[in-house]
Amino acid sequence: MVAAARAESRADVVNRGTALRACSGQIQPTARAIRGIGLGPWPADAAGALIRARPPDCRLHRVGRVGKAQPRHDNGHRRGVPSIGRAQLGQRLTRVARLELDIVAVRQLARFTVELNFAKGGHRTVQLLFLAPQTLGASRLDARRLGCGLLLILRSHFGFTAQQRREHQRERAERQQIAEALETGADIVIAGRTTDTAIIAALPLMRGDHAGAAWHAAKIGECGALCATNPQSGVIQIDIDGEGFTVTPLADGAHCTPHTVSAHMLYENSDPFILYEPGGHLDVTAARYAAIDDTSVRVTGSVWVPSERYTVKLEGARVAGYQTLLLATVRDRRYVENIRAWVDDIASRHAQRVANRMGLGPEDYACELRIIGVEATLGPLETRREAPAEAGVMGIITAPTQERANEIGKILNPFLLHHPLTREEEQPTFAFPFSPAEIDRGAIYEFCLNHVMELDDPMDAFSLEVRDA
Amino acid sequence: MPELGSIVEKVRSKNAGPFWLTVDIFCGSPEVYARVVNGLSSERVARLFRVEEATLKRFDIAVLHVVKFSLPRPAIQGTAHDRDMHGAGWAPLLAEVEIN
Repeated sequence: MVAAARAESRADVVNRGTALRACSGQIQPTARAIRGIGLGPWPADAAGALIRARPPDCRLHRVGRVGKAQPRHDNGHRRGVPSIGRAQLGQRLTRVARLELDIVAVRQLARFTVELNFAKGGHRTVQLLFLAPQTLGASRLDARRLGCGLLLILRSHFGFTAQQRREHQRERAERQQIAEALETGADIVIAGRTTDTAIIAALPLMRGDHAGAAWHAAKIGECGALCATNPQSGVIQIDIDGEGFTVTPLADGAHCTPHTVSAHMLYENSDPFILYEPGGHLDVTAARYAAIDDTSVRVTGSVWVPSERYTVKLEGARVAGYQTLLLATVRDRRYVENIRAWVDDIASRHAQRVANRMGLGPEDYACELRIIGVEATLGPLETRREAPAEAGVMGIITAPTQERANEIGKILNPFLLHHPLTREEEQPTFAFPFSPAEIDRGAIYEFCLNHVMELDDPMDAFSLEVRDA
Repeated sequence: MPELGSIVEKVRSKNAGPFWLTVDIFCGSPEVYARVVNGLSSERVARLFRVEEATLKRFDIAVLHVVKFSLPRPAIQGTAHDRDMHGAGWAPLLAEVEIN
């Protein structure tokens, strides 16, 4: 996650509202840029933990204040008009975040950002780092285990009274980690995974705008123009103030309607009315969406409900094995019609040969054969039963080491190439799109930690590192 | 009987975090919305996705003409058995059910 922000002089803008621009484009970095990040080896078994409610992505955010008098359709490129941009930084960066190696990823992205800004100069880059519990000083820890997860509840070394807790709770309503980073005077903030909303909500929250409106606006703006009639049109502007917020798409021909804006609460959200965030939840049950004109929508009535205890979500991942893939395509009509039987026969013969040659049983590896064109997407849930023109057979082998996965793949290779449906026929040969047929795809990672962590102070598990470039 | 996908504006599915899947049916009009609310039982959806009905969350949102279902993902995102990292491929399963 990359967050870049320009926090302008704040003393003179309090209570005048906050204007932000958000877009949903994708940035695909060039190979040179990727090399520039220096994605070297990282400790493959490390598990990071972070605050985010969604699967990991690397996103670039630029947050800033835009004068309300700015004309529309200028795309925010005018000198001195900061905009919110937002993008996924391409697959390799996503993979870094997927490894959950938050701190490693943040440092790499920080280096990348500093290099990118080197020519311009005069930027202050702030890294917001999540601190794994074991890296915090022992005096700050009150170690406990939560459930089956080896999780430490972090507490500050102060013993807070109930009264102090309530005071802190009130303070926290206007404080969060991204805001702390902006307070340093940051031009660019690079953070690990955060919730989509936390990055956009930070600036209006720290300027004292309506908390419910700030979080709700952040959710609506998380994917830019996805909340408008033309989702591909990119940039929207959100104006947040002391009561509510207004959403306006900036592209010609794009419109926001009460329907398109309110419908965005459905997106990637299991409950369309409640959104849990660090420190509380957003409740939009009573939100009112009103068209200002045929383009803009005004939203009021959003409620931010602070939680009694401040929590951040912890997600962790670990290596779950190494994979080798094979792909064969089958176009012969008789084989396509009998593809399930053919694949099942291959699976049992392959398992037998792996046992004979390598002495491995089902507990030592996994080999799955998915039939593309028949059931690869839905598996046992598939309800359609139409014969396709061709079928792909994708072999997915997962084993404790890459070498073992590859060797098991090599044993699968001749089956996919030559296995006959019956003994009495000539040896068939099927299409391999690649050579060599075994594709090593490296480690796979699976979630191993899904918890919340209680903090006395939102910054207890985080640190800021400031770099002037 | 027509398929659900042929009478509504859109059926889409997507991850809601790594552990949940959410499916939105945009009905487009009060008439179609009423037809979907009455014609598509939670029990039937649970059976389609092979989850316990008790774990299925259902939201009938009249103001948007939307019926929304959320359910535990068939496989946790990213695991070896996950067939669809972003969860968008499950929507056609629901779009192809027949409805009165």
